[in-house]
Amino acid sequence: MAHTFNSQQDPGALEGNIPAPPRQAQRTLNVRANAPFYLTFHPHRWHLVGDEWLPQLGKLKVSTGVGAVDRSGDVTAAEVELRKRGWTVLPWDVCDGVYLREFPAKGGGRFYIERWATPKQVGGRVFWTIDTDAYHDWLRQLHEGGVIPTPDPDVLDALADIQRSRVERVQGVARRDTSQAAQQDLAAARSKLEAMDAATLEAAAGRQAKAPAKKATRKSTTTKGA
Amino acid sequence: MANEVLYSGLGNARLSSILHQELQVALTDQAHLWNHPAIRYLGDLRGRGSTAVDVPFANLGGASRMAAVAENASSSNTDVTDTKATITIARQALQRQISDLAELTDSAGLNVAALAQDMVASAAMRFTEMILDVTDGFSSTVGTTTVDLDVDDFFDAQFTLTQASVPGPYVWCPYPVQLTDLQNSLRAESGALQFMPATADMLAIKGQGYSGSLNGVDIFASSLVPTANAAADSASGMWGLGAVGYADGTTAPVTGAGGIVLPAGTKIMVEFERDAAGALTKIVGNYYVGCAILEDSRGVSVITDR
Repeated sequence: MAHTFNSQQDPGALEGNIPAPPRQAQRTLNVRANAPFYLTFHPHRWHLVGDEWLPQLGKLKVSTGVGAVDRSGDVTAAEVELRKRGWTVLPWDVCDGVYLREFPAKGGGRFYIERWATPKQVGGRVFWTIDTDAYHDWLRQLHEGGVIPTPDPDVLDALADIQRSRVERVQGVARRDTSQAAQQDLAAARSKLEAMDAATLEAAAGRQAKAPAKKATRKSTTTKGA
Repeated sequence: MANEVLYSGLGNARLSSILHQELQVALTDQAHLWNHPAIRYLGDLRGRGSTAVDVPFANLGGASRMAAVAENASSSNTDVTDTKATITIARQALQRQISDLAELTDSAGLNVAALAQDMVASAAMRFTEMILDVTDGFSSTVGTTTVDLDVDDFFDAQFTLTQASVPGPYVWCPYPVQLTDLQNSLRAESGALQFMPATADMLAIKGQGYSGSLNGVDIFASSLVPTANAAADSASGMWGLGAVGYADGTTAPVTGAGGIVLPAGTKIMVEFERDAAGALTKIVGNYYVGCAILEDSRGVSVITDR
């Protein structure tokens, strides 16, 4: 093709548009679309992470027909139902930015997931990298910010009881089975129970550290009343 | 030799490829939970005045036990505690559109009839997805985050229900990875469990859906189990009868386009809509359904590595 330095455009020339990428080339994730959701907290749902108790959050899916979400996607009734059962719905921007991310899904629609999950698509397959440390930090921030209360020691005791039953079961197996694997299982189960008990003590100490102000108020009120 | 009739020379009389007579279905989860006895059906809301149904609970059936009262003492009133759960039905739909040219050239079975029939499977899978979207939310949980499920997690869940006096039948709907983790753990199990026929059965190859029964708990694997803990884990549910319920709604008998009559009681309405100008046929399926947790204490969420 001949080049020209003429600034005048040839009136017969047509200017091409930048083409939109074909459908196959669009950056969509090879996953099914899902519904957006809110994270939720329940005072009974805690789990041991390392040597501390962290909340085991649930989800309120904004999906019509699921858990009292109505025909228009209004979650008010669903939220009321959850609250009646002791749950707290956490707004998207509850702490340190919005916790939800969306991606275009294959076949249309959006795919929603927590921001700590990063997808990588290799040959049509999606691999997720989960930054669990950052997620756990965020859970700690929720607690420090007062969004999530300190766990109740009785709830933690009930959770430790489940582990205690497990230790007993594994102990029974380890008595019959002297293999190294069975003994390791027993050691791991015991070690988790010990960690749970230690974490419960720590949580109780944290609770007491926060409590004195309230207790003092109550005492003085009683004294005043008397 | 010359003038042999070769395949390579028959460009006008042979095709580069032909379509197999039978359309194959791409890999997808097709197992659904419709009619499982552990899911309570709360009726059809047609003509009931609302899209929401309140399910009342009262502490009857022996929940309040008689107490010893002296011969000459007066008894006092005992309150009946009542609660309720709400289920709201909503429209679930799927629409497809096919051109006449696509329809008339069909030789493999991808046509209007196939798309219409597929609506029922699509409704069943949506129902399953909805049920699994609520059973991850029981307030009781077992399992360890980012740690593979083992047989003890299964027992933890089962014992949680037993200790809460939850009546059967029990069902557990794990994510397929949770199921294979259980199988892996069962392989190494010693003691009484290794001799149970159900244990050996659990190790056999499993397809989709019903995967066997362990300790009387129906196991029903599904890839629709939601994630938990920033998608690091799967949150499946194990529950007994009365934990989860659903309601649905059927529309009135109507005469649709083309004189197709949809009789009363049709749960999934599949209708056709013609666009004559565009030579297109639209197939629309509608299903009105809602589900919710009825009694939280009748279920437990099993949260382990995904």
